[in-house]
Amino acid sequence: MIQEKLVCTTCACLCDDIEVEIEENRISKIRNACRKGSSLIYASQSDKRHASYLIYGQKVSQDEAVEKTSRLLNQAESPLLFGFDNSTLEAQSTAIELAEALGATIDDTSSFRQGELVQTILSNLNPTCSLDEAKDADLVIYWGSNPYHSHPRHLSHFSYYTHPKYEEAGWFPESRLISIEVRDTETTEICDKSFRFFRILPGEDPDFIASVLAIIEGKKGREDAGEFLKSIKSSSFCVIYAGPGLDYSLDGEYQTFNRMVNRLGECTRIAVIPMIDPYNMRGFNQLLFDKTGFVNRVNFANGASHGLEFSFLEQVRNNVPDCILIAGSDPLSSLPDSLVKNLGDITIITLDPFLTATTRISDVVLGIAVSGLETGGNAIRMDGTEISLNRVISTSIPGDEEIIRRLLDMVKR
Amino acid sequence: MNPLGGEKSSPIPIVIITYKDLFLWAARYKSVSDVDYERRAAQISLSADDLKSLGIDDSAQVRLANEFGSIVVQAKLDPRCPKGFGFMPRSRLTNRLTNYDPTRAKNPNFKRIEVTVEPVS
Ligand code: SF4
Repeated sequence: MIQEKLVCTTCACLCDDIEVEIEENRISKIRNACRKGSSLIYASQSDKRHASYLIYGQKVSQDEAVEKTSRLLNQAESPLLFGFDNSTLEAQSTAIELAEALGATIDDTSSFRQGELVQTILSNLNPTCSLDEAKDADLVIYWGSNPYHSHPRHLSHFSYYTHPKYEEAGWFPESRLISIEVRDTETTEICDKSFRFFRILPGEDPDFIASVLAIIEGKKGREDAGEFLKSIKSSSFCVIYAGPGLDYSLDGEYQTFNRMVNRLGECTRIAVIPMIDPYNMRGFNQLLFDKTGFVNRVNFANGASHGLEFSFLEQVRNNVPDCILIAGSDPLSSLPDSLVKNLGDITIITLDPFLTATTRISDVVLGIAVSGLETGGNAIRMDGTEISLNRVISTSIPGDEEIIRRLLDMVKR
Repeated sequence: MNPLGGEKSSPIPIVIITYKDLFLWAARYKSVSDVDYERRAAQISLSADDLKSLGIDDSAQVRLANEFGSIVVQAKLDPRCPKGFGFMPRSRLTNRLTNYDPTRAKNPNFKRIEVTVEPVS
């Protein structure tokens, strides 16, 4: 039996203290991982779950699947590359090169989930900090996020409970917790005991933010917005963990939110960290931003262009692509049926470690190794910190970087 | 009359808000069969007022429908739920009711799915 440490790649917390026991190249015990992380780690051990190489549902060799993929991509008039949020930085960087070589459109799930917020952070429009620094925050705010379900170890490993002066008895709390939510959740229960839960109606966030700004500017505003402002003013370091609930409520329009955060920054130290779900969405956003100035929705047909029309949603809605390469994403399980029915007329190639609803309808499937377990590499955590992933299980299955690199070489030829 | 004291009535409009559910997520990866996943996915939390308007008890089956599709799920009484809203874990099931309409919003309506709900007799 061997003991190893690994980084969990199930969500963008990238917890790096996971201990596993390995017997005969299989994980027999996991320590420190949450239910979400451990279920993915165990699933990766199941042969029934692993995707293999398939062309039109028939098992083929790796070479045949890669060659078929490169032919389909080369023949395509409007190829689209989508996903890569569950890929290593190395694979993502190669995928961006592949998109360039093909003159393709490239996009990821941030295009309909928190991409705009990450763009504001990378463009320095919102202050941020690392999760390590955030441990010192005396006011922690979860806004439109219930980490109990989405990032189960966030509270205990990175935020509220890790404050150096966190006091279990809570008589003289040095750190306080606020939740802004549409209903009571496991997180709001802790907030009620620790400090405050602001319940706002679904879609009311813009009104709440406008009210906070109005009060800052000496005008009248909502009572709850006034109390929220008072709490922030009385803190010395406040971190806002911005979740998908906020994103949907703002519909990706962060201008007023940014203005509020920057005005609040005049009274206290404040930082915003996006509660990103896929483990390396931030990595994809960073790499594409470094190259093009945009975190997603880029087309390389004529230099690098950016626009809503290059989002996966718009491309599929308007039946633009004739071939889509999807990596580590399952749009068939996660997007409206009324939209993904359009995928039926498009050639689909999927790279995924697991069998999914999307692999089931794919023309070509390329089974890949699970990052952080079966392949190493690097990734960027939700706060922008780069984390190295170990390989703890040996396998002959290649990682996505290797497959995408082979495709790039073939496309260039 | 139903146990909550309401009369049986016609379909009522509600807005569904979907959320990520840890247990549903784990069920998707943990078991090879889809039974556990589907059982966990097929639930909607509703307020006592809405259950009363529908004339149904906790755990009754309801049909949720809109122009995109229709599904049958189990209604759960949730005192935390505001009237007129229903909470469901986001799943392949809720995908049948969601839509993407860029003239209304940049994102699919995962947090605002307008449906009618009616008891399944
Ligand atoms: S919080 Fe996220 S990264 Fe940490 S163990 Fe759980 S799933 Fe894995």
